[in-house]
Amino acid sequence: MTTTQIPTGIPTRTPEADVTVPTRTVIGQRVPKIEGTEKVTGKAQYGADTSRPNMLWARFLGSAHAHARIVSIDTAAARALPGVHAVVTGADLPGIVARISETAAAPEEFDVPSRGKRILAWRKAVFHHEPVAVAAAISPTIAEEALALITVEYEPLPVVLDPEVSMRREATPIHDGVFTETFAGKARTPSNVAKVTEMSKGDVDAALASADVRIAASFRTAMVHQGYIEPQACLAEYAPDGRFSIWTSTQGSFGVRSGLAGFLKVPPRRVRVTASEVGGGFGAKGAMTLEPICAVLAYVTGRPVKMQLSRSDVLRATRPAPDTSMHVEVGARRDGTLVAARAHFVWDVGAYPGGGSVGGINCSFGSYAIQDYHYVGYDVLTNRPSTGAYRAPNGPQGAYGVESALDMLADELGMSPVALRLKNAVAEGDRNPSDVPYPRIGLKETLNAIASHPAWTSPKSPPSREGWLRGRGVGCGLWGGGVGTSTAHININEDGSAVVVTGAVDLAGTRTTMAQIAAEELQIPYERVQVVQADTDVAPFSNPTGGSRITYSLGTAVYRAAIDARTQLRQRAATVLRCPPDDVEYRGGELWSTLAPAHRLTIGQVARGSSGSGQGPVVGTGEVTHLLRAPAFATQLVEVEVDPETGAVVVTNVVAAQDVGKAINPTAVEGQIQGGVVQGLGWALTEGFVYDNEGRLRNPGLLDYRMPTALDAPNVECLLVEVPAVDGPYGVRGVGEVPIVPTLGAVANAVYDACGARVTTLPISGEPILTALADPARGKSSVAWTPPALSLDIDVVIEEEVEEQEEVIE
Amino acid sequence: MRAFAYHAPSSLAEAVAVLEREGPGGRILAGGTDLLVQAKERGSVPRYVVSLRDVHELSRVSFDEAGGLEIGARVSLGEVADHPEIRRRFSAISTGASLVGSYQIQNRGTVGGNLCNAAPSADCAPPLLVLDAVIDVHGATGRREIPLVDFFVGPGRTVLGADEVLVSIRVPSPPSKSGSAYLRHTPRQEMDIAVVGVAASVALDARGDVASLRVALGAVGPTPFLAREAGARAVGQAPDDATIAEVARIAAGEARPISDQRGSAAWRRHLVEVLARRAIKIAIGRALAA
Ligand SMILES: Cc1cc2nc3c(=O)[nH]c(=O)nc-3n(C[C@H](O)[C@H](O)[C@H](O)COP(=O)(O)OP(=O)(O)OC[C@H]3O[C@@H](n4cnc5c(N)ncnc54)[C@H](O)[C@@H]3O)c2cc1C
Repeated sequence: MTTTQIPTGIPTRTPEADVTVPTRTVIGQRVPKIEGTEKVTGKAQYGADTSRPNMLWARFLGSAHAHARIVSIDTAAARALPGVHAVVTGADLPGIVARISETAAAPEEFDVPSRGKRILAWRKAVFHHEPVAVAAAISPTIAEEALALITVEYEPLPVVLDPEVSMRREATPIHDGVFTETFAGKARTPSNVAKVTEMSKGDVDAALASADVRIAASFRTAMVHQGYIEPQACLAEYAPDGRFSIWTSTQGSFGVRSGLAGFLKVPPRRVRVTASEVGGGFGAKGAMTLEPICAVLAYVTGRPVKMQLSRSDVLRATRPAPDTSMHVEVGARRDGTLVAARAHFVWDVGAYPGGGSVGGINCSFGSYAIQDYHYVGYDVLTNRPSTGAYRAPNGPQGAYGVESALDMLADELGMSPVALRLKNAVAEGDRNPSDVPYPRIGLKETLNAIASHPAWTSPKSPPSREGWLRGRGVGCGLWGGGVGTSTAHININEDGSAVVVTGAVDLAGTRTTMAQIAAEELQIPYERVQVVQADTDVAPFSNPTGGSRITYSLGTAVYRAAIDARTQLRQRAATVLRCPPDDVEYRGGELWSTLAPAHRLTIGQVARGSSGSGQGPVVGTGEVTHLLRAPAFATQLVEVEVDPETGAVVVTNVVAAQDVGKAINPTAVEGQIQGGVVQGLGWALTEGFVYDNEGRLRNPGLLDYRMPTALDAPNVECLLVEVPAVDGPYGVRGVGEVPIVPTLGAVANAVYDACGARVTTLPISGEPILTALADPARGKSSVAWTPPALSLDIDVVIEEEVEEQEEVIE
Repeated sequence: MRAFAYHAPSSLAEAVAVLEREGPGGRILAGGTDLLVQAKERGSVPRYVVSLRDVHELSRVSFDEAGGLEIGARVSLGEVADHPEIRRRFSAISTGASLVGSYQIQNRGTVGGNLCNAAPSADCAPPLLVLDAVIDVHGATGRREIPLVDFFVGPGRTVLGADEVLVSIRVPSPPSKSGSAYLRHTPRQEMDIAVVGVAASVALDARGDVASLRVALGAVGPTPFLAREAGARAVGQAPDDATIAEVARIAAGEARPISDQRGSAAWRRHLVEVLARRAIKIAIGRALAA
């Protein structure tokens, strides 16, 4: 895989730097990953790798129906099975939590339609395989045998799987307690439309009417899974002092602490969370899954309880990304200037409310400056599993529709798709759909990088397979950037080495990046920095890892902690050197007085001296709460070969240009880009949940849930464009979410370029191509979509915002 | 997974004796790439397994002109895929074996296991069907031979008795001027299950016309099967595009696909026609080159 770094010549402002660093030594280097050896030698400890003496194993029983009233659950036989220590159902939870917290909880509190609170179905199951009971036993096999002895009496209810049916006014609400939320307030009658998100500006009808060319098209994507390799796993222990210890595979140990404390109604100090190495999260491990169940079982049994999901549990009952129906209209002048856009996004959020609606719309249309627009997003409930965050939540789906529509427009205008995008691309000062102005951004730079790349400028090479057709397509995408709270400590050791302590979970090799930042600012060799990801009793607070925020936000905290440590070192050196701190020079790990440069101290000497000198050891601290968001943009070129007789698609090459601000470690950045692209290729071509009419997943395994394998992954050439962000250190921008956003549309456009099939449903591979080829008019129709009537008797009293922990995590 | 008893006999006779002694509920374990996955994921755990690991007499591949090809039950798919004689004379078989799973799967899995597992999509089945394979079986009551066309009963079911072991697969030497090919459609490049699999074998006569032609289909019926009408139609015809197209059309008509998570019945039928056309073409090319 080749990479080009494209310097843009824009100077980087390194804020707060109190010394000028003549040349950077570690930032920008391809240093090896700190935890790489542990991972490839199998020594890294993942979620399921921690065990405790006397541990029990838990398994859950999933609902046999996608929608049913639970009439009764008989667990007597299961509890009587030798080796079984506890069987718990939803009805038991209020009593158990009351005992744990010594406060009486109203049972109704546990029967609310909330992803976080309904850890066991109670009274009603709302998706197939939703947990209805858990058993803890001395072995996993006995726990499974116990489940087989549980009798649940169900009264099946009608199952609704199509969000466009479920959202209608006449549809029966899945929950009595979900009322449509809008910016104006909350509706008064229950509905399956959990939320309506609306953004508009100007007069879109007039603007569309005045456009020279208009495109209207509908698109639909399938529900897909994040596909992390490591299934969720958790171990919980309850100690006689009333404290819970949790070991879990999570993106945020502090998030689990507050979530679990809230669930158990205990103060956070009674919960200690240790995050394991994470075998992939992509957003899905931002919210709690097994932790409350394990904690409750550990309390009830008095023994440590471990629970690990199977792959089929993961696919059937964790939180995939919503399938989306989109209706997109765009209008342009003859010269390609976009004048208007209208869109409706229907997100199937699954059985419980929640989702990334605002970010989704901003990701879908945010690449283009459009004068008049009206966008509406609907979070719609169905009897499928609750959905959750997946890399740039809701962005890839929306961008697939928008980027497809733009190519249809380019076709209509006889314009190059790259030129059309360049003409309308946003730049500094333009506003996003939420009407927030962009700071300095690099979309045009990524477009130019693709526009001048040989894969775009050279004539298409002939297909490598006889009878196949070759095509290429482009797509753009963005992520608004993640911020949040981060804290870091840096301890300076007596030997002059440094230990960085953080409470943020490393999902993507960020320990290495943090070590690079600390080494750079302390001016010591990278090898002399250790990074510790500590548990919630030890580490300083950080928000969960997600939304591409870690290198940007935690990086700022580490940067500030290093500068703080450096300041302290200079102060201590000043005492030894008997000069004012301002006269202490700090360079290359040495300190001296400018008045007597011959007397040099090493960091180690200062640190050694300081621990006994009365000034105390050197501990730098850095924290950050508010940074300006640093939006990141990408443009991708995808090349495919299509077999027009079978619908087979092979991706032969991808060129991914991305504004990364500053690549602290280019290898790590490429890993993020390549990973995002390959996930995007799977989403575009082969992945998708298939449900039967009863709402049961028909492909709950990796044979039929088709994620790409190494053989399907093409060469992904990365073009690292470096337009520095205005805030944070070195100009760095988050890189994790963006690369999956443009891929789906770029693939669809490449397939169209190859064979003339405009495929408007995902996944594309196979039959959809043949269907589209058989009907070339498809996708070109200009049928505007009328949203169905909703029950929106809005109560204008704006309710107090309930803070949803999981909303910040992507 | 529930616990099960494990037997590892060191001869075929002993293996059959274990099956006879232990009675129903047992399973032969060859590579285990189907058996163990099914035990773990579908909970179908046998009462006991009889591993062929130490039954060395089953680990041979032999070929001679008169006796043809014989593949022992313990021979790995990888060895079959790479065997020079199989590649040259029985191309469809080596292709079928080389498409199963991945290298790891091919190092463990066997052709015998692929057939005994009796998946409608088994990649070794259509190639062996078009090449007239015969299954050699040993059981408590002795030895018998079963033509592969009579072997499959339904998804996951064969005519094998509970006390019977598949010993080897025998394939007659193909005539001169013959060739075979196997193609399958999968959405992914590898590690995937056939949406449709089509094998073809062709023998040409002295004039260059079709002396015999067989087409076998996978994943478009309850078992892999020979599309007999399609094959019969070509005999005596010139091996040209018109004949090929006609045969492929008939084969598509003989398919009995269902719609499921892997594809609709209509698309599968269409794929049969496309792949049959292509497979026959390749087989004819090989026959002409032979
Ligand atoms: C990741 C993966 C990918 C796969 N991909 C494919 C694929 O692309 N195409 C495909 O066709 N298959 C595929 N398979 C299925 C499997 O690998 C093949 O069917 C393989 O050939 C089975 O051989 P085995 O020796 O492992 O069989 P085993 O699992 O040992 O046995 C399978 C069945 O046959 C019985 N059996 C085996 N040998 C004998 C014998 N000598 N006598 C009597 N009964 C016997 C067993 O009792 C069992 O019921 C895949 C499997 C996996 C796990």
